[in-house]
Amino acid sequence: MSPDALLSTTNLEAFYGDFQALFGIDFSVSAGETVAIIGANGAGKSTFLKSLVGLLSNSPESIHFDGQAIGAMPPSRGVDLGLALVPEGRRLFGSLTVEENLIIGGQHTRRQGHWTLETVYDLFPVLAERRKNPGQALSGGQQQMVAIGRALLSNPRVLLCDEISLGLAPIVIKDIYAAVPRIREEGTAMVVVEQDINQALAVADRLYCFQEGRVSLEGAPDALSREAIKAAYFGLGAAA
Amino acid sequence: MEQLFEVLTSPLRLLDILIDGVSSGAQYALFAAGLSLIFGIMRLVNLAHGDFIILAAYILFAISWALGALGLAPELNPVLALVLAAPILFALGYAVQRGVLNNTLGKDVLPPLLVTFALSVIIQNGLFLVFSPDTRSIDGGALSTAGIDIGYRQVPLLSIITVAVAVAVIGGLQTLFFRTPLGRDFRAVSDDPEIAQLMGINRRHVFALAMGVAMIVVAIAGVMFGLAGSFDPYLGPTRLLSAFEAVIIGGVGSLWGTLAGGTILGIAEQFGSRAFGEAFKQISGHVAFLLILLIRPRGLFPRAKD
Amino acid sequence: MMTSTPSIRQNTPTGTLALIVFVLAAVLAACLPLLGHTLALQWGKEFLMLLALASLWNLLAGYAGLVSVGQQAFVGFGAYVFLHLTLDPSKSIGQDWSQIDPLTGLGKNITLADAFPAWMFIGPVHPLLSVLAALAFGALLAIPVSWIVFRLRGPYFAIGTWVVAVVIQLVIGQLGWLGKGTGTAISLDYAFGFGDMNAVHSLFQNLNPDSKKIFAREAYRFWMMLVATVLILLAILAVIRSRIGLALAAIRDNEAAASSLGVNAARLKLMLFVAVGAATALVGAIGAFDESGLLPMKNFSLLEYTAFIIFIVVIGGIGSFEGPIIGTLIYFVADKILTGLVGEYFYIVLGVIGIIVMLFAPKGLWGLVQERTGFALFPVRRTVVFSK
Repeated sequence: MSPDALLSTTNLEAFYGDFQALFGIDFSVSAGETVAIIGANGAGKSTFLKSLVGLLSNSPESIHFDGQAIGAMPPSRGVDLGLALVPEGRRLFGSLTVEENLIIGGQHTRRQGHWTLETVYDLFPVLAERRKNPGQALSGGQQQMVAIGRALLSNPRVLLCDEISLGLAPIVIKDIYAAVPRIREEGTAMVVVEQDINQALAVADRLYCFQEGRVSLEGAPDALSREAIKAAYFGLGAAA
Repeated sequence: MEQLFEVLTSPLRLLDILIDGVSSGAQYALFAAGLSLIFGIMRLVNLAHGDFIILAAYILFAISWALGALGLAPELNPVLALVLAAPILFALGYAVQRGVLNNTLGKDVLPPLLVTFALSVIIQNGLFLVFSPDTRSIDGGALSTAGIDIGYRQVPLLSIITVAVAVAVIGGLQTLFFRTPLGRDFRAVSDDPEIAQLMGINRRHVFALAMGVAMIVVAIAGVMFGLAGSFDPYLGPTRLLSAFEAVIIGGVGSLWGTLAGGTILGIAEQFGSRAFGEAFKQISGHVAFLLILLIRPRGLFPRAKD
Repeated sequence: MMTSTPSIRQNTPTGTLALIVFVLAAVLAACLPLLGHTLALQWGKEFLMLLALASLWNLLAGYAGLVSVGQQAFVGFGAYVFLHLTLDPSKSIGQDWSQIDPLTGLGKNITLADAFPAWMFIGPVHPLLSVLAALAFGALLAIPVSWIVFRLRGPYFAIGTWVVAVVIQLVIGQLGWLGKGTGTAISLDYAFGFGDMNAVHSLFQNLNPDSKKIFAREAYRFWMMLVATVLILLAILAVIRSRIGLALAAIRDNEAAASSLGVNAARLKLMLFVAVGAATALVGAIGAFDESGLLPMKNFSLLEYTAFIIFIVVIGGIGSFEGPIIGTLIYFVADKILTGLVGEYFYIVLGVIGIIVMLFAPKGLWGLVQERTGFALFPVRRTVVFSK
């Protein structure tokens, strides 16, 4: 665990009722770092992100943010700390317009920073044209932009992205990921959960691979061989 | 049968039905607005809703009476009483939601139903103990008795005011919902309670605020109801039924629909009472409700989502 | 490696014991009239009626997820069917004081025949048959009711049942002599003037020569209620232990998943709704009226036949067989004791207790016991037994 980790977990466990989804996850991300998490469906990636933001309850000491133990934090406290989630499946608010979806992301926190309505529209110009449309009347890719923008408007220190490429055409995915460097520029740390391994490898400073609720591989992309990643992903044999 | 024939062939009788139907419909819409609001935001049906209206009527009656004893004009009393009572009722709604009802919300439909049912019983009997079963009404002086002459009959001033108030309340709620940050929070919480939390929205607080707002609407409904006629501690359940029917007829999720629903209900009642006799008033409303339920189960103007 | 197929065991030693106790209690209860105490009989009938209605409501709400606030309609309906069938149309059912008969100086005698066309009369019918007819008619009533209320979901279903109950009450209230405001006092002798009644009367007179005919009638009604309640409880137990019970539990947990396994949720719920409606009408037919006679408002009373029932089930434990039994016991005792203590605050106290229980023990008192111990007096769970 690097000593200047902004967000870290120690032996994190997560349960859905009696079902255990995470078995002792050790994880960390430092300020400004981009970390990717890859893994098959059901590996526990979304569960992990939910635990980080407080949608799942965990033991308090198992998650630390900036020195504070936040494992048992209620989900509404995350934005104030500087932790924002782009949820899997977008999860925009259907009764709100694009602009209202964006505004509500930053409405309940006093955090200030680079991201405002103007700068988000700058990042995703197509949204400016559709600002008054109902949030769900947009294409999948545009909705994803709204979801990212909504999270950005709280000026988070760590942005958690849950499968932002899910269900999108490759050309759209390229557009979305084109925004990532601009987000990194502002110094925001990112945790990117991806099923698309290549995309993950392209953006990450470090990579984790989850397999059936455990970390099966960790390291910098250029230090990991394809074979090692494949083995870790599918749970075949020992990790490199 | 002759009555029915007479009604159907007489334009003045039909106009009566329209006028009086719209008037009582406005009252029903006021009853229903609070119910609709709460269900829309937190999927909670408050079985004690009607009893809260009666409770409000009694509180307003008491304050209004006290103001009258102080020498204020009877036309001003109800208005002033409403202004004074609104914060009280807001606080009551907030407290009840935060203290009791929030803890019943979850996947199971039973707890909120049973708890609000128990609340209903408590309120009715509490009112009975405090105020006795005697009927009361709020004295509005000229407000209650004045009428506008339209030639062949008088239209009660109160009816016109009730319609105006209903439109204003629903318009106000729409404005609250669609043009304020709080309304935005309400809509977000209604759409996706889980993700709404991630925006920093404290659900417990927002739900309590919503109940507080609903109670202000209830207070308005209570004062209009109390001015229009007499009430006793046990009239709550029938108010709830009227409110519920107005919501279903109009379509769940639409406040303007609720206004339409209340109007249809009022007109149906007036028609039944004039065509078949006073005894058929209530049942005509119920029959209209059941027919609409059978033909268009989602109501006349449902919101697409629910 | 298994050498023989495992068997499924549902009975437990405690369960068998409980069943024996249950039967003994029923037999003991049947002897209650021998005490010769009228009040005891009335209390007994009241207790049994609450128990039956509570168990039925629990089956609907706790097992099928159908929260009905309109069962009182079936209670009243059953009572009216019973009375309508057992009364002789030519018998007087009251006086119309708006028309004074010059000969007698009293109000003009009203008979059933005055209010209804002749073809409607089959009576007088023996009470036992009338009660069974109430069962049948209750089922018939439940069907159109279901068409309406099943269009509504969740809490709106509850209010819908309430609306329908009000409509039924209003309609019956409008029908001729049945309604007329607060109703008329009809002597129950008219309903029970049959041969076997006299035999019962003679039986009691052998025990106690002072025994009145009224007592014999009350005993007769008590026995009817006892038999009905026992049969209803046994039927409910059979249902929840059967595959229907299993299907209901599956629906409760996850209706979509249950459907994918072939469970027809809609049809099951409908069947239960009709069955419960019929049984509720039966109970109403036997017990819903007393000496004060036919009172539309009382027989359809929301408070007595639904509010108290709900309270009983909530306190005792919703969704378990034992819950309503415990709840009825508690409520019954509380009713008799508390009314003396708190008087007019009774309903408020009841309401507050109900809320507290619902917030802190949503499965009721029996639920608390079950959670701690996994104990069940009447076992429903199945265990797989692996034999060696």
